[in-house]
Amino acid sequence: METTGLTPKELHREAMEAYSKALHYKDIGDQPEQVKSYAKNALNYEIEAVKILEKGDFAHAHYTKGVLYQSAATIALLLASYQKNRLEWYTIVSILLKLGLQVAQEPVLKLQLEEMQQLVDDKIASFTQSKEESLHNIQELIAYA
Amino acid sequence: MTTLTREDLSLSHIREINQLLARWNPLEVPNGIAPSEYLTYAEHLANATYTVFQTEDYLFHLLEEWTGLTKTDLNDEQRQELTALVHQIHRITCKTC
Repeated sequence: METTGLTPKELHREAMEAYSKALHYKDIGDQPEQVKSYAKNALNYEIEAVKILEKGDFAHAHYTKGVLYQSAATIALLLASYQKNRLEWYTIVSILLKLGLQVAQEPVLKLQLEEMQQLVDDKIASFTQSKEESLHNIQELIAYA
Repeated sequence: MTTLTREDLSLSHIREINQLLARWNPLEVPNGIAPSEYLTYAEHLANATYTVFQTEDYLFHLLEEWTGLTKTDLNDEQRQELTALVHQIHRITCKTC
């Protein structure tokens, strides 16, 4: 995946193209590897676009950081549903949304990010409903620390 | 009775225009992305005091910037869709209508 020299706008376009393909394969239903592969590409492009904007390079930007964080979080949410370690991926989505909320200037975007954050928090909470399960997960994490 | 503040009204206008732009979706981005893709422009339109013609000019300018298409590249159906969109947006933003 070559991203060198692309502007945030071009990177976002590439991300959207890859994300559309990921959704297409998701709709077909029997090719999860294709969904994951395209979603991974899409997320890489979007993160690259955000990185450029975070560096303060606004030339040819066209998009605000908040919009791109929201887009990255949406793609990451799709990718999360295809992962075994879903909890970690939901945490990644949550971080992207928090970063988006820190920089979002558009009031409607803030509301959208907050709604999405609630959805992801609920998903994360559903993983830790049982105290026993939570403690077991912590022990597993300690073992791999 | 709840009284709408100027901020509430502006937010509601942005949301309405944003929905229209997301439905138009000239960039053909996926559904989950469209509601945020055009937000910056929805805010601009909601806060501008454009006439119908200025709104139309602005949308043509955006279309060209986004897709490279100009007025003459559109077929009748696309032109009608754009004209309808211009009037819908103008109805939302027009302070004196």
